[in-house]
Amino acid sequence: MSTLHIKNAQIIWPGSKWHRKTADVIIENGITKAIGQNLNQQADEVITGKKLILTPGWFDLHVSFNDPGNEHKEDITSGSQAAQHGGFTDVLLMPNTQPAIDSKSVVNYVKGKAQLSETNIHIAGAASEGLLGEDITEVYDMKDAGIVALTDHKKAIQNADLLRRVLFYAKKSGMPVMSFASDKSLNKNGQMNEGKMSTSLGLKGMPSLSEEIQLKRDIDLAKYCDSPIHFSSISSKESVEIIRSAKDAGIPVTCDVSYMNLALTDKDLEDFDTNLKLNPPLRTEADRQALIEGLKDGTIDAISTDHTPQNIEEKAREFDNAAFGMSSLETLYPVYNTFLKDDISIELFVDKLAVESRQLIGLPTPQLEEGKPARVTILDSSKKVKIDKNFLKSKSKNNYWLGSELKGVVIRTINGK
Amino acid sequence: MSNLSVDHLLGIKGLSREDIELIFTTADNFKDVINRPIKKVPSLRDITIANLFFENSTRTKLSFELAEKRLSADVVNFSASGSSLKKGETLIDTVNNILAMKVDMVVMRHPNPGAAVFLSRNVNSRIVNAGDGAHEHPTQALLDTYSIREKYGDVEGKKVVIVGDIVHSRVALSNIFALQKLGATVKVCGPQTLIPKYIEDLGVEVELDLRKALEWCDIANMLRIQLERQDIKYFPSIREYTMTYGVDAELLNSLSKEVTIMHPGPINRGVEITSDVADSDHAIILNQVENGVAIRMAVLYLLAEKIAR
Repeated sequence: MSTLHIKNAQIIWPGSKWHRKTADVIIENGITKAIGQNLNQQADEVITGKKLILTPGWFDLHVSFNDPGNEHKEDITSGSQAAQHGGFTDVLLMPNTQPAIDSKSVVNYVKGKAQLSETNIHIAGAASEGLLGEDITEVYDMKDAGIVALTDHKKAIQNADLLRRVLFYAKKSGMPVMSFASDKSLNKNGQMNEGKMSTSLGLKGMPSLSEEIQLKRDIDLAKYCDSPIHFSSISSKESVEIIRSAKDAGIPVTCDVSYMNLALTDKDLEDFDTNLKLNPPLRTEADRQALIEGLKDGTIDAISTDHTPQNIEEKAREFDNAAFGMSSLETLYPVYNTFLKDDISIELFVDKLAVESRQLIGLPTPQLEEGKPARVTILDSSKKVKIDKNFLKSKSKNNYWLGSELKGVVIRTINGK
Repeated sequence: MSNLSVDHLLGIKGLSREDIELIFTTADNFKDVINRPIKKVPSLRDITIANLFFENSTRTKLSFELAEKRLSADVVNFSASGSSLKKGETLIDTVNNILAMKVDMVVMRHPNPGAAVFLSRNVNSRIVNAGDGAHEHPTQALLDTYSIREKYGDVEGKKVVIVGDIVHSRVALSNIFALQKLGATVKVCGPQTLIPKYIEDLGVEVELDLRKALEWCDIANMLRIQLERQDIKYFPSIREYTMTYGVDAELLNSLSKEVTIMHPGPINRGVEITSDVADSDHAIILNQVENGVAIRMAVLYLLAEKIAR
């Protein structure tokens, strides 16, 4: 028996009668026991704080744990710990492992390891065998084994006919097909956003055109196949506009944005910091503003972390030779609370992380009700935190904010079952 | 004498106008030195410099080595176009291995943009960037602007057009920064496939027509066409490039004004400029080469001043 008493928390829980109220919550062995003002109860542990916030447990649509294949960067155990430390009760695991998650046997391996983890691991299967962009995978066999989405992740599907076949073939499964929009020929050897900064740094640019041209193509394919499509990590102003008009035209399109693209721009690359070598790349201030606007008006459905752990050898090197990505699960809330809360309200933030992100793969929002499993994230928005190597539970420390002091901490993530 | 505001020469971007002017006045003195019968001064006799060239270079390396020797520095050379990298050693390890032999300064050429910045943050030595990918080549821009100052007395107010492969050129980028800091106006000219889409954001105008560009400018800096840097074709043939962007005497003589021709070398004679232009009074190409040694002496001298000894 273990009882937890959360005192005086502001509850941000869209759809709950407690939404925006301040209350105490008692959780006993992962079950919500009581909710109310000034509860008086014996508890094994009391959580207090100056500015506690209680939200439904978060769901991240976009994480790479590199297990199997690159367990030196992350494995399912360390990735789950990082997720929990970052406020996530649930994650959607990308299939970019080695071998790729493209068959029942790899799905079963991941499920086996995931059983031991505190975080609920949902699995996205590969859309093409080996993520090679050639042949479609055994979608239904993998679905029976437990996958909930299909994607070739960042090996963006270049062949329009393949995407057409994937959309048609998988439609009956009801699983979302996720596309990372990127035309490889326009991005060839690209290192960062093409713009004033890339010109001034002499780095090969990745034009936002590469994303937009593919976005338009994929939307046309979705329309042709009459099948929904989800875009992972969009990054440009024009992309927001393209998706907005597609939604207005009734095409079943959804998308998410990684928080790095909400918090940073290509200007931050001035010192060639390889921790900011990201795909999609950080773009301009105008793009960043448009992404925030897109979240507010509903064009963008969810916020994700695009957690991409890389070992130091892949990052502490010349920019051209460094790997893409950031170990980003654990700094979402500190970064949001320090830099973004004036632009994106906490209600909207929680909605995009806990409610809408789940809807995209057909999961219900956890409930805040007495007698129900407690799946909650507890924050303290007033507490400062120094981001250092010990702070990050991820095996990889490729995080831009390493060494900074930020304001806002995930106090506890509870994943009651 | 005052000091530079920087500890390394990583690019022109990080320099102030005062830094550049200090380098120029210091170079004036060294230019006198290298024209004397005894071309050598003892200024850096307690300094060891490693020239690390991770990319082929003949003249920049030679120019640096002469500058170092005329300052009486001890010099070691390391050329490894990819060889140590092929063995899997990282750049930091390679350089730290050399620094472990007690080297005070590193002059580095490297194929990747930002390599000098990266090195300056990871090793304990003064770094001089001798060219990092398509990023910067600061000593080239300093010697180019120094040569303009020498010919015209001042860089302020001059109109300079840079012609050729702008997109792959560290010379173009460093020249743009240096010329702008010194008050010159810059245009770029060349096939549009070789001009960065966002170059105008750097305060530079694009002129695709060579004749119009030449009619506008005081100075034309003709970049070398670096076919070795092009993994795909940005223009169909050298022949057509020369037809549209090559400068010959006939073209120069048909202009309504005098234009000074510069070239960072090595020249592809008959491609960027014809021999009669290269060897004419319009060209200051060999002055650039001579000034290169004086400028590099000045840079090394001023950075060595900042080493506690």
